[in-house]
Amino acid sequence: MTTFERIKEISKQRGLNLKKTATEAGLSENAIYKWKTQTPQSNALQAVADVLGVSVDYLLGNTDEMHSNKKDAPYDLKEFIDSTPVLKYDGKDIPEAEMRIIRRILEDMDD
Amino acid sequence: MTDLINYLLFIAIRNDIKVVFSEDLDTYTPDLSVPSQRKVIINRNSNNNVSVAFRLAHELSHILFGSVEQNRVYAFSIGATKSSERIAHEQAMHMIAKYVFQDTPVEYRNYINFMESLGLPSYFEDMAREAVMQA
Repeated sequence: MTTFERIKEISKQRGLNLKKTATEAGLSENAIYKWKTQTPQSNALQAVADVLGVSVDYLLGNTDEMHSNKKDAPYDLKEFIDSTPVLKYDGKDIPEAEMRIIRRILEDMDD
Repeated sequence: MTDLINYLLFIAIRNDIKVVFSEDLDTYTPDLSVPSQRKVIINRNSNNNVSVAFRLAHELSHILFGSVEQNRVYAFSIGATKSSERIAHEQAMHMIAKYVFQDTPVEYRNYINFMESLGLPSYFEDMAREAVMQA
């Protein structure tokens, strides 16, 4: 899917048309239509991504994850939990056995 | 209470958040939320006196209103002094009060009963009054 098609699809989901999306992002009404043929400028694309609540990467088609915060997390869940600073609860460490269960639950949630 | 939980789960689904009620965890393990992956785990075996509805609303608040950079994993704690936890408590109460009192005029609202049915400790009083009266 091209950038233009992605913007069109998400705008529709958000109940906006392309003109409205463009004006809310502070661009001229037909700015997004121009992106059918031209490559958008990065700051304009960022503004559109903010209006739609998705990441620029998603609009560019580099990722299928809509939310940018996902891309900051390590891709592998195991890596993610291992890299998370020691998890404490009321000052106490969560036992390793519990962490294993938590990790399994988190992994199962992806299915 | 079931209505309230269904409403909260509806909010979760609308916001692309996955929720699991787990029975595999120890009684002392807190509920967790992982904002970067938009996931919430509620520990059904928890010995916590606070109602599941409030705990769910609290964890959802971390993901809906929290800043992702601040903490990477949130663990529920009723006595926490961390600002992120306190803010989540406030947001959770606003979320629930808005739903519960939508049809109740202000003069009929009782925040003490509200706190009791959610199992909230007394130091939530100020927060609860504000949430209930503003809902």
